[in-house]
Amino acid sequence: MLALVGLGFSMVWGILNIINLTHAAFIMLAAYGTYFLWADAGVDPFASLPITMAVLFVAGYLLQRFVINRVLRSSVLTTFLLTFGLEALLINLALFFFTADTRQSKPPYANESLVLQGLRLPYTQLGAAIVVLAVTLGLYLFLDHSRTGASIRAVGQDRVAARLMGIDISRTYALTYGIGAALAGAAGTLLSTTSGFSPVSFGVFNVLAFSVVVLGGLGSVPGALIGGLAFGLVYEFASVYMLPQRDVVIFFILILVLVVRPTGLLGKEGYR
Amino acid sequence: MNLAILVVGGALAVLAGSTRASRTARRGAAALLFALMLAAPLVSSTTSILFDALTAMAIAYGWNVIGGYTGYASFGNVAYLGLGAFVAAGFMSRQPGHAALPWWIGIPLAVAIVAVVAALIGLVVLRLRGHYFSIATLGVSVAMPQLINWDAPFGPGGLLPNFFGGGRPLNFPLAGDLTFLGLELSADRHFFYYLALATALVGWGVTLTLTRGKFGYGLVAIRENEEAAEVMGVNTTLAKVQAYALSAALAALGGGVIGYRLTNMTTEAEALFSTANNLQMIVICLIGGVGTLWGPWVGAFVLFALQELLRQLSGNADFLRWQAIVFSALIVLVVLFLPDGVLRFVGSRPRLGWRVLTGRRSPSRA
Repeated sequence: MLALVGLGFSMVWGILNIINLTHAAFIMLAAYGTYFLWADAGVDPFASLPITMAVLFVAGYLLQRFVINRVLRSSVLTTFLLTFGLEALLINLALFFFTADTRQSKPPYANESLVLQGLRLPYTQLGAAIVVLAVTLGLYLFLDHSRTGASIRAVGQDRVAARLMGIDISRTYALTYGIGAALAGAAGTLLSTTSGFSPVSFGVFNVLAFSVVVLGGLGSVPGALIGGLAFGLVYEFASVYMLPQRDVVIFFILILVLVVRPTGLLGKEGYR
Repeated sequence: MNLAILVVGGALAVLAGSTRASRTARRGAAALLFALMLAAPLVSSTTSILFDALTAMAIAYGWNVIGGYTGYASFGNVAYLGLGAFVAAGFMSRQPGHAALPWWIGIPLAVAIVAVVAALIGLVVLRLRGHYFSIATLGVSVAMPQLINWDAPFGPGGLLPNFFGGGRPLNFPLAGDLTFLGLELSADRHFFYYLALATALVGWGVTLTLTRGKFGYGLVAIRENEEAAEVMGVNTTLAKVQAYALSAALAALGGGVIGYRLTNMTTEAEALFSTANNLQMIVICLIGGVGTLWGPWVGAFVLFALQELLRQLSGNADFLRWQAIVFSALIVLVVLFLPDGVLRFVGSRPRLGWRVLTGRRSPSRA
């Protein structure tokens, strides 16, 4: 799950070189979308996955094209503050319209589990894990084997050279941002079934996503997967052993990785 | 009345910081501004929004040191704001186990302690740059409230038992009304107002010395080119850590004063460490002009004038519901359309027209 959260974040960061703090708000929007589709229209949460991903792709594409593109090459402070402002705006709007109640999409099979030799695996979590692996594999294949994927990677490596090769930069940027948003959408949909949520419970995902990316290595799909798994394990252990201070643990790991190995587990070179 | 003070004060601050006005005009505007601020409680019956504006300004001046002059975009100064309030409460509280120090010892002591803590944290996080530094400081702001509630050092059996409450309530002592030279001075209207004004003036004074001294020039050199600054003989690590600690000290000063007025730390912890507080100091600097002497002053008055205007236009209840939405929308708009702040906007007189609105102009500061 954390891998999926980190994946979209990693793409936007690696290619556009901005820290997209609106990421958590996208996750939130998808979680609410899935919840309302399930609660009001009876759509199975897993069936709503393509819908939320498509809607968020379009939203992300437009947001990048018309808003974020303007500040793309300005200072860290500007991009950071803009995406943070958008995040705060979306979360406050959600608080206003959806209220702060905790919700969860609970399909009929929510409480059933697959029992494998004494190991209980809830179907929702099992499904979520399968979706994460499938989406990660799909993204990997897309980036590695399609023409559009190659142009996205090219823009990430050298914007000027990519432009000389005839790649439409702003379109590629918007596309990348859209894909990032769609991945956040998938994460949101899955989250809405595996745990309860309210508008304020998403803010932590930005720091989590950042940690996953830093741990796994920037702009690397398998890196995000491994970073997500490693980080998820540590996070769960921290939750069990020192629940109230678990975010402190994240912070120390983050600082440790940044200082000791800034390129992450699988990354090749660090961004400044 | 308060709205008028904020608008006039903001206009005077713009004039005082304007690069186009003559030296005398700027000095005169600054003098008028200080006179206005000193006289404000005489003409205004409630000074609470001015208190908010002035303390926020002091904190913004703190952010300006590291984010504006040194060019390290910190997103975690709210950690020091909250910590300052809690440490001050820990010293000043009259409950058993606390020192019950008077405010003029308790708050400066808290400021000094927070500065030391920030210097230690700064030694680590200032090794990072750009995005990494911003996120790491954001992490500090997430971790700090949890550290304060950590039972091992601060719990009942810890190193400093119940210093931050540790499950028991933590309060500042109530500030009473005073009689001074036969004048009745109300705690809220006079005492806290002047305390806030003094806080803001400390922030302003610190920034003034930065713009005139070697230390401040060193920070600007680091912002413009850190390697070059190092080569030119600036001890960059030391200067950065000092700037970060100074920045945290001002945040702690503002936080301590805010906490003193709020009184009950147990219920206000979430408000002190809130994202809104975190963003507010940055937005204030951004509205006024990042890395300028008068920027935080202008930004704070503009922001709080808008807030007061909004509150007067809508009812109180509606206002509370909309405040956060309007505030975050304001951030987006300011970043998109006024990224250089009011002062530079006034100073440069750009061709205001569709070029500004469509964003087709050269990036100002890359």
